[in-house]
Amino acid sequence: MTKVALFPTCLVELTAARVGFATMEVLQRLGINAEVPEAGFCCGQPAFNSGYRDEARHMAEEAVAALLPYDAILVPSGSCAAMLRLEIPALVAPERQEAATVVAGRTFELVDYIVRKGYLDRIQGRFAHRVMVHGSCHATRWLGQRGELEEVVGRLDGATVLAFPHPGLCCGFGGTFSVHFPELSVAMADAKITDILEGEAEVLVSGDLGCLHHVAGRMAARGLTVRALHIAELLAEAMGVGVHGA
Amino acid sequence: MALQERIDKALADSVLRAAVAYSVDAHSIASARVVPPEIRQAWRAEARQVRMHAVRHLPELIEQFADRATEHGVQVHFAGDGAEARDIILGLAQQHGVRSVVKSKSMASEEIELTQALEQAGMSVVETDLGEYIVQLAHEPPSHIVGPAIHKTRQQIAELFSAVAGEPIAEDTVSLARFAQRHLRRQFQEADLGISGGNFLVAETGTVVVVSNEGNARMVSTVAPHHIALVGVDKVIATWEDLGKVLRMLALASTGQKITVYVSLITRPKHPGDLDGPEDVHVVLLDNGRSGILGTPYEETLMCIRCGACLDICPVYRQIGGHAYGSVYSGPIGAVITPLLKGVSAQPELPFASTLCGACWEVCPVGIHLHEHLLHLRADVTRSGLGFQRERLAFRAMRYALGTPGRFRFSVGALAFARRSMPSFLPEPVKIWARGRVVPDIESVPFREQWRRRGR
Repeated sequence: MTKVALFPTCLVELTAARVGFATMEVLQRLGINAEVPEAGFCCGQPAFNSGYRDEARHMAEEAVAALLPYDAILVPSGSCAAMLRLEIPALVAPERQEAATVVAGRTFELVDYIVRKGYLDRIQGRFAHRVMVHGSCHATRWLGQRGELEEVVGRLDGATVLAFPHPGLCCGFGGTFSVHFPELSVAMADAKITDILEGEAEVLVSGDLGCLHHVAGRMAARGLTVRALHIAELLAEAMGVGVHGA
Repeated sequence: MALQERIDKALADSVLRAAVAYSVDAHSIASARVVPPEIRQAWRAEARQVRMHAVRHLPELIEQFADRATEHGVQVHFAGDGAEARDIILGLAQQHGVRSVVKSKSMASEEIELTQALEQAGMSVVETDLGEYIVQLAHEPPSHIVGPAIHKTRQQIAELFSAVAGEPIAEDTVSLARFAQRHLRRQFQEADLGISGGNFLVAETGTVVVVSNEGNARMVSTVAPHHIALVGVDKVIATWEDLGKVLRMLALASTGQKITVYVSLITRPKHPGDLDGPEDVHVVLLDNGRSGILGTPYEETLMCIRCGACLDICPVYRQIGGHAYGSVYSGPIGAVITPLLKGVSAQPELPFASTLCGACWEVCPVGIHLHEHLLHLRADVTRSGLGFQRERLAFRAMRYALGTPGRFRFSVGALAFARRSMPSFLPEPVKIWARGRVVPDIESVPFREQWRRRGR
């Protein structure tokens, strides 16, 4: 029996429990029985990207220890999945490198798992909206996603999948960049929003909450009514599975 | 002006941002069309090999270049730093009684502030690359490695030219180009000295390679009686065959051409019986911090062929243009080599002014992992006690707070409670976020605790 873990990510834990619930409900509908581990809350990326390798190392090592018992680890975030898959083996202490490599090899971003492990056919539902798809820099450049997110949304009845004219153009979140250089970060969000408005999208969807909070937060501040959904939330709504909250 | 101020100034300049976005998009679109992606990747691998080999054998190849060039009658000089390079060039200029100088584009000359030194010594210096000429008239530094004046609009350029002409020059491309051509043609003919940069140094043959689309580098290196090429030591490649592999990537990546209009292959001065050419050719090989990068984890950055593609693709450069970087080299390559050449303390926040999106690496014709180098520089900065030091405490606290399930639950609850009972309580980063974006709600109980309470 494959033991599957959901690594919720600290953003889901702290700011979007609904995405965690949606992910678990969708996985269950797809026939994937996942559990949420006791410990291991952060992959260490915020500290890592800010140049604090020691703090990042500790968090990464705790994540590795908590995730090691599992055969597959699903992550509803391109950036956290990329961190776990690509960075932690080199980051952790030498004696933990083997464990980290094992965990890295078993970690999958949510959409990757659905598409590459043959669950795409079970994505069925209705979502009759104009949906603009934002693949994060991590999901596209580091996890090599080229069209998987579009494919998943495209499975839904009535969905019009829209692409950004400059799909590779970063939304400007960049983790701590968003507060180190806030005006620049917001200007970059505005550039994406110009495209969203020109595309007349009703919904913005992404596999990454960081990007979503950033662009959605800007849209809300500008009084715009475009909905911003994590792919798990969108699928839960389309597939008619309950979305619970605290 | 500090980095933040320069960024703010750029963000407030909508004319600049429109001009920059227009130019970089034009470059990127043209570049993507030259060859299909598979061929581009194959060429990229070959160019990387050529440059990697060159960087790994840099000292020997420079020596070989110097020997070959000297055999042909070129005079080769070594400059350890900018001051030395300026002294050498000034010395040569004064030796030949030079009064007027024409220059073709050279980022290395900007790096060592050569023009100012020549002018202070009483010489007149005219930039002959159209973009460099424009920024020279505007008393500004170049804002892009390949297109120095992409931040300028047609109207702004017409104003600058009209002031020189003493009469209105129309804004259309033909009128602007014609004015520049006529004005600069006179400068070429009257100049005592031509100073160029160099795109590549071929060690096998002792050749200096200078490319241009306007032909100005051709004029600079042949019309005046003396020619000096100022070239960074990192420009060396091993063989004649290597040259084709890097030239095609340079043209492809910088302007989306198959080859630049002019490729000057300079091997020697004029011989008796030659119709034209300079009486003497000098090459000043500039180190200025480059050899210090050899043998370090940053060695790869010396492979740069100065194509500007990373500037064109960068989502940050697109918003702020080149001047905001406050350095000769801007964009992603500038953010990396500026601290490497000048030390991290020069601009400690520069490596942080990036989202690490990786587009620069993806587009780099020699595959430099610029995003990784930025990350390593951040670690260097924080280790030396610079940068955003307040964060060190925050990340330590985060590590503690996430240490056990119990601590995690408590921390999240405490944060949410504080938000509710003291509505104006916001940690600093959240306050900063809130300037322009709505802040997401904080869960009172972390997700996994909520999940557990659901009985699953």
